Amino acid sequence: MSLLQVSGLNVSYPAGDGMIRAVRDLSFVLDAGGSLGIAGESGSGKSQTALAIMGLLPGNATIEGSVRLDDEELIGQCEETLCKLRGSKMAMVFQDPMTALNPYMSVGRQIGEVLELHQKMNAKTAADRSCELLQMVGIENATRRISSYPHEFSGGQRQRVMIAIALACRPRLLIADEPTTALDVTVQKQILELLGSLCEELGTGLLLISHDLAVLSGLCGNLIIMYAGMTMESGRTRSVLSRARHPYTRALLETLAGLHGDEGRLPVIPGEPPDFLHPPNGCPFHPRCRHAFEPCDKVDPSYRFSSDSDEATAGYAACHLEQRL
Amino acid sequence: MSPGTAPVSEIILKAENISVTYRGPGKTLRALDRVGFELARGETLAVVGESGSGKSTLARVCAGLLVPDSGTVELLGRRLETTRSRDFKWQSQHLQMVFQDPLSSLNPRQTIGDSIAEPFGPGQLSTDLYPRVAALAEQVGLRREYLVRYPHELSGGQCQRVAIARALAIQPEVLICDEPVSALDISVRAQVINLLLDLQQQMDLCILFIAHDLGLVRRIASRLIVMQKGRVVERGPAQQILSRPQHRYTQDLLAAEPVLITA
Repeated sequence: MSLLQVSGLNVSYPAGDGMIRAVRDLSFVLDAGGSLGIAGESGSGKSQTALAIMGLLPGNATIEGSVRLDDEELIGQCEETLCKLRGSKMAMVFQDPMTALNPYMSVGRQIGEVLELHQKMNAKTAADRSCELLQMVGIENATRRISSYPHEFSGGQRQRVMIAIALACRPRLLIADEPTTALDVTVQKQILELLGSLCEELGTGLLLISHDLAVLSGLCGNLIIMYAGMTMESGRTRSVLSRARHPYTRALLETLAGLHGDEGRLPVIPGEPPDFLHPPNGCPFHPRCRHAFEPCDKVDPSYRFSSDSDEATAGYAACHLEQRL
Repeated sequence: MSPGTAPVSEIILKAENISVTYRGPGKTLRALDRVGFELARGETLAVVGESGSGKSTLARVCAGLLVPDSGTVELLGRRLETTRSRDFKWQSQHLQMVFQDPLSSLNPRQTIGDSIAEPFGPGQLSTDLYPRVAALAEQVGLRREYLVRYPHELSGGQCQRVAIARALAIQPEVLICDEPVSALDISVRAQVINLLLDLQQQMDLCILFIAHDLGLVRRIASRLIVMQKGRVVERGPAQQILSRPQHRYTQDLLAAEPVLITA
């Protein structure tokens, strides 16, 4: 059964006398207890997607399309309803735990707050449960640490606290937006393992957002590659990464292999990321694509996209080459 | 001295026994503990470590931005007394730095052209400097029309090109790069690394490359220092360390690198 169904999601912002389209016609499905990765560079719209699902976009954003969580439409819901869902049914872990945590509150209070609000626990029960949660995310001496403040924790430990808060009410959906980007590699590895095992244990669906394909490849069953607000390619993670169909995915993988390769010049994706005020016509990647041919600068290649879940998981590439082959 | 005539082993930058201690209320932190290295002409030395390892502190000491508690830094055979402003001026003609976040290292109220021209003297870009600045911009792959724009109008990768052009304007011998591509997207990262490799060859630069990403180092550096908690735990040829790490910490670092799982 599908847990999260996003169809035809558009997010845009007014800019000057035009509009910036941050997310364009995005559709995907995440199954209950499943894991989906969204990969993209800055400006690809991956974080905007996460915020749109959580109902956290700023007031000047225009949102179109549909986001259904357990068959309940989220777009257009009132703030009160969303507040009840956030923290209980869906939760989010952000990139920088220091700015996401309240510096004036002990971590125990911050975990307990969620439990008191959504599960109507009394302060004592909430405190006990907070302690268990701290233990669950691998913080030693939880009984003592519960009264510590965020600055007394290291970056990795803070992110563990964030995960404890997010998973406190056993949400159906956890969105993690670059949860390890601010952390050292050794800590990153631990946090990713923790996220993976806890989501599996609790049956929580994981939407993991990262610029790092290697990070996503270890945790996500399905993968979406975004560029300029659009899906370039999607499918089973293994097949997207081993048999990439879209030239953008292939170029990314080549660059990634090159960055970790031996001496000498690296393979590059030429050109610059797209200018959002004047996005290219047709396929947004065509000015940088070495395979670009006749229709690429005129026709949007995503016209074949269907929100049908079977097709989405079977693999999809928004490229005119697909039709020529 | 023309680059071609320099002997291969000529040492340009040398740091010996550098120690730095940060003192806070009730706490002291040994950020660097007797760290040293030598950097020869045309060579790239990478310094790798996690946050708190002291790698950025080392970069700041070498750039004369921080006075060490003990130890010496020699640039072109001359011992640096970083507290003297005359020395600092001399030093900045031979050693320049590129930082991690290009947007915060460029003046947001200065045009790109003015920023690149800054090492030649304060003020706005004059007409007689313009050809030199335009040539620099071209060298780092920036189109001329960018010279009249402001940093916020450029992408992160373009801003980092500006920072590199500015650092190289007065043709220094040494370039210290503190995580120069960490803030950039993967597709742009490769472009900037290639640019550094090209410029190094053209200008016979020596580069002190600070990084947390061991994989990247294989590409750019011939030698490598691995740091942990202010100490050098392993040093040697980059290829050798990356293929046969000896120290436990280096092994842990390599093992933690995320691997692309495709099968």
